[in-house]
Amino acid sequence: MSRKAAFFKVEGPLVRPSGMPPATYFILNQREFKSRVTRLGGLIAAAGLSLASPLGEAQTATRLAWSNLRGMSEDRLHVLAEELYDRQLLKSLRAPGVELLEGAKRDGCVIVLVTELLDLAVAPLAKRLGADHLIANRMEVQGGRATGRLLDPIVAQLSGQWAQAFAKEHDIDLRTSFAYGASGGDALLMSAVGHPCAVHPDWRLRRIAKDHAWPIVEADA
Amino acid sequence: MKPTTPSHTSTSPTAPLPASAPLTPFSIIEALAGREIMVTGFTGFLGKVLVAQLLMDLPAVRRVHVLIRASRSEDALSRFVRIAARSPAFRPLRERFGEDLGAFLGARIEVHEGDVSEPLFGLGEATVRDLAPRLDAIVHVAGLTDFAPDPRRALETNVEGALNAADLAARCERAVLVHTSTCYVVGIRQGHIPEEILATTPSGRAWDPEAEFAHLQALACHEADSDTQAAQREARDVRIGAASARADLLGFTNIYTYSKALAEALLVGRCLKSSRRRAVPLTILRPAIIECAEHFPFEGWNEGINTTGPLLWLCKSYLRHFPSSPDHNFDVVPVDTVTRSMIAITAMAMAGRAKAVYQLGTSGSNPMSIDRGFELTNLAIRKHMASSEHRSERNFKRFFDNVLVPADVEHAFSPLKLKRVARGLRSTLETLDIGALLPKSLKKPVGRPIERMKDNAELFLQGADRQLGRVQKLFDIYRPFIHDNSWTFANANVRAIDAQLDDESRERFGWAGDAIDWRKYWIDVLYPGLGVWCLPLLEGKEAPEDPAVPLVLMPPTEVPEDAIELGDDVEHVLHHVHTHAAHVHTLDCGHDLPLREELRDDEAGELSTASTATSELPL
Repeated sequence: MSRKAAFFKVEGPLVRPSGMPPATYFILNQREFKSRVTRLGGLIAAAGLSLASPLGEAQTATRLAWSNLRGMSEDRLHVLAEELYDRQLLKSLRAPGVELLEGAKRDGCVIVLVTELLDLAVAPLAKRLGADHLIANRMEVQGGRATGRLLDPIVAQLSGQWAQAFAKEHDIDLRTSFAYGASGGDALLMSAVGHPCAVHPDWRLRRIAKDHAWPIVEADA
Repeated sequence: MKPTTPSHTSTSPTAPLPASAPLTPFSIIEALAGREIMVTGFTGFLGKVLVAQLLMDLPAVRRVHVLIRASRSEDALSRFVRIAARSPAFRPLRERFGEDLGAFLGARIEVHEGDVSEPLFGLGEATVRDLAPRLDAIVHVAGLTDFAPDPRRALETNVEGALNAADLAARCERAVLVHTSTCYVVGIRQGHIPEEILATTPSGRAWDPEAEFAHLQALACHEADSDTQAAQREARDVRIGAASARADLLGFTNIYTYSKALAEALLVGRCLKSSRRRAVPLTILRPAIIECAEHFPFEGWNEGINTTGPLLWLCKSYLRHFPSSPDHNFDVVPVDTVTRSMIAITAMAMAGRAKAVYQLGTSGSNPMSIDRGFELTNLAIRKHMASSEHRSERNFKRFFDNVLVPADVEHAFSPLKLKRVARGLRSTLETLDIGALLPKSLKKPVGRPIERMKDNAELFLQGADRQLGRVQKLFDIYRPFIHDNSWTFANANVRAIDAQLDDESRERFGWAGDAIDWRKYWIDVLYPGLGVWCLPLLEGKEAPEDPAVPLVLMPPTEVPEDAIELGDDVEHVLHHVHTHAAHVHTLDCGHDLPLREELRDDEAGELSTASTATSELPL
């Protein structure tokens, strides 16, 4: 018998977004001052692309943003990821989102965390929250250095097809499953499940949620 | 001690494990049971850990003989008891045995008062005759690790000490000699460094070790013209200058590596069979840079001022530019990785299965580059300063990593340039007459405060000038190791031992260097370890010691022979010791005496800065 799952987007429902692209923390803490400045330019270009074509080019923008980490040592990636977790993620946890997650666990759901951040940073959070699966971006590392390429699947705007493939692989019934998102980019994943829910959504997701009569939870309320 | 799988993929090629097909697995525990081993250099960092590990992991070793020099205030036995009672190296033993430690040590340890620089260690004929049929191995760890010592002391300790060890081994019926040297005897040779005795000097000259020995003796003979302190200092400087020049000519990086290489070369000849003495089986161990313990006695332990400590201390300062070659290897090895392999090699040597040379370094199979070492240091500083209250300092060190620069290019922030700037500013201030620049009416209300500020600035610049000079001196000492030379020390011999060991021996005494996860070790073990055990010494403070415990030592002659049967376990030994408790001899463990007075003068095998240089570090 298929199980039901609860998909939680980390940025928004569980953690208050920083308002900056996910790669920002890593880029601002590059080893050399010069590369911080130049790579920040690349990040701004990626953000511009994301804003200019919000739906079509999300993956390209995500690739472009994370490509600015090329050359960063694996050691630094790990330490920065650890810092990001300690200094930002842990301190920005949203209680209502965590309560929703605890409720889903009690309800017997398979907990799936979805994030655009690197897996290194979010893995401790997934462990802390008792998630069953973590779907995060993974940086390719060769010879101890990041190549700047993300390994598949790239988590930018997960589609319904991805959800179906994931459900098939893990014997999950999407019709009885839940999905909690906060931005317009999460709408495709949310629309693939039977019980989508917008948590403190941005204006785009709020409009979509209202159109589809999805419940809306105000996380900071 | 389960090795963890390293998560880091190195850019350097990993050497394949040498193929080997042992007929029967070799058991270190069985090979060493009932044996008697002499260890010199016990009061040093490596010696303490080695003896503690021998006692901890191999209680069936019949006797560990430790050679200790009497100090001005203590005899050898009191020094041993004090170290056993207070040194963190003995913490696991104190925890395991509690009040019974004295009894256990009494059954296992025999302390000999002697001096490695004296013939037959100054043991006396009766003692030598007593030891001759008993000793199975002499593990010679004692050595002088200063980079620029008085050649007289280097000669006595590093060269003559090794020869005296060979002489003592030759007097024994079966003792093998395991001599601790250093990987850096390689000098200015570059690239892959094989595990072999050097036939020529690093600069490629043919050399006659005995003639070189005589040459060094002649250098060390230079005496002062008078008895005044200044004359003595001048004579010492002349000796150091001459020995440094000689080392440089032969291609050695400093007097320390020169003397260790000479000792190696001499030992090869002296251990051969002659008409007057038996051949001594010789095994040479060459550790690389020995640093904080990974597991034993406990994570992070270190003692004294070793190589990485001053470098790390400089990284923590506001100096950002380091003259280093990023792609060269920085060959660090934890002390317990060295000692467990030393035990395995000693057992192999006693079984006649050891190779001539073992290089105990990591660059051959689990290399870490200098660039990575600096970055890990910066990341460690970043991590451990995260909770620091000094926000500006924290932010400075978080956002401005060290920059590795070529040594020969004088960059904007090089110590020499900054030194010149400081001198220039100071001379400008000195010539500045504030009084002459101000009208008479302002001289008192304005001129005096400005004069005070000027005086303070001059003092600051004077201090900066002095400190930058010392930093440059430190850079010069380190330059051969972090800038000039690129070494990859082969370690196939020690790795090959693993294939011959049984499972238990491999687990406890196998080569652990390949399993080091450098990120974890550097950030979570080495950095905090040096912070506790080394950096305080550089800052003129004291490293912590364990609280003294009362220690009662039974003289070895009173331990019954049947207490030390093959395969005896700890409890069995203790039972016999307690049975004979009436004979227990109580010793004062000298609680009030400081433990570290001898730390820097007799540890060996590791690359260490000159104490003369480190003691002058800018504080």
